[in-house]
Amino acid sequence: MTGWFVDENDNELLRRCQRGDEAALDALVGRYQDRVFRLAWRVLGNAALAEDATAETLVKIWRRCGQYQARSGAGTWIYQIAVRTILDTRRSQQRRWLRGLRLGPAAIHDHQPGPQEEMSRREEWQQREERVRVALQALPESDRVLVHLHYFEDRTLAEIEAILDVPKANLKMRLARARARLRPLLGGIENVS
Amino acid sequence: MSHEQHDEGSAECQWVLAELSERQPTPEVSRRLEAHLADCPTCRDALAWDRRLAGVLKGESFPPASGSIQQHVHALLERRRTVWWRGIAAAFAVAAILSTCGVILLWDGKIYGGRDHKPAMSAAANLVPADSLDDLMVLVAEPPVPSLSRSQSGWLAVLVQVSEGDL
Repeated sequence: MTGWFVDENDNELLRRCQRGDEAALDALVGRYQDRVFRLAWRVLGNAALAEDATAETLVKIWRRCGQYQARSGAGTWIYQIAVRTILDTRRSQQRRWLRGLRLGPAAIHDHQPGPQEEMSRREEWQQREERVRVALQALPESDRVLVHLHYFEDRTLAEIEAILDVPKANLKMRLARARARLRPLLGGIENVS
Repeated sequence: MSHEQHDEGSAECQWVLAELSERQPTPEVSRRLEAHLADCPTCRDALAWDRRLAGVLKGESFPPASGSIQQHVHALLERRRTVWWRGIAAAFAVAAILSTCGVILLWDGKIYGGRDHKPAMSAAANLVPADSLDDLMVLVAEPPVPSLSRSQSGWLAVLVQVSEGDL
């Protein structure tokens, strides 16, 4: 178990949720909303949809907390629900696209442009971010989840295996394939120190 | 490099590329990786790309959430509670309407007895001459004819027979 989240306390919070304690739900919301939002944004590419998916995930956690049995760890169980909810939201988004409703990804940055002297630096940064976002959008949604969990959240393959219910050997192959696909798109990009 | 050596090298390279994702390799896997990377520039390059990609992705910024996710969660929960109560209320309303209809139908007698019910007819009521007193006794079990008494209906049957000359 990694130090990413204090699983013990999360376990106790879920137990309290099972007893109908809404304060425990609020505590879980505080702990997980940012992480789930980032994962949702990675997959959906739209901040508003990512928020909806995050809220839906937390509601499902409350409604299904009775099913939690502490076999897999609270964090893993929460992420399983998050991944399924986000992928369901993505499928709904795609169906809306097919029906002609334009729900394209919002701009990465929602804030207003800065002072003139910082404009070029900010634009360069935005272009870089856009390039990363577009490259990741080229991956299937399930691979985007995998890349996010592995690279951004630094999860071990064992944890990802538990969350996605995919064998480790498959995860390794998929990650190798994702790296190969991203290389021509991001190969020249510089690291951020 | 022979064809077999190349194939073995490729297979080993495939294994290495997959194992790059393992953040907690066993000592044996670590030794094998190190040995291969020492001899394979292609896989060293792949490792370097893996590290660079990790840096790129971790350096990516995310748009801020609106800060109202908690309110959003509570609003969704409240909406679902309301929907749930409305469903219960609708089910009760339907049950009440069906019960009322059932009571009206029963009271109106459409199911048990009542105006439309046609009782079994005895021989006498069918104006067939009675062969014995027993035939007339059946009239006692007949549902009452609204306008005639039981004895009157029996006599009526007799009178009809007489008038027609059957007696």
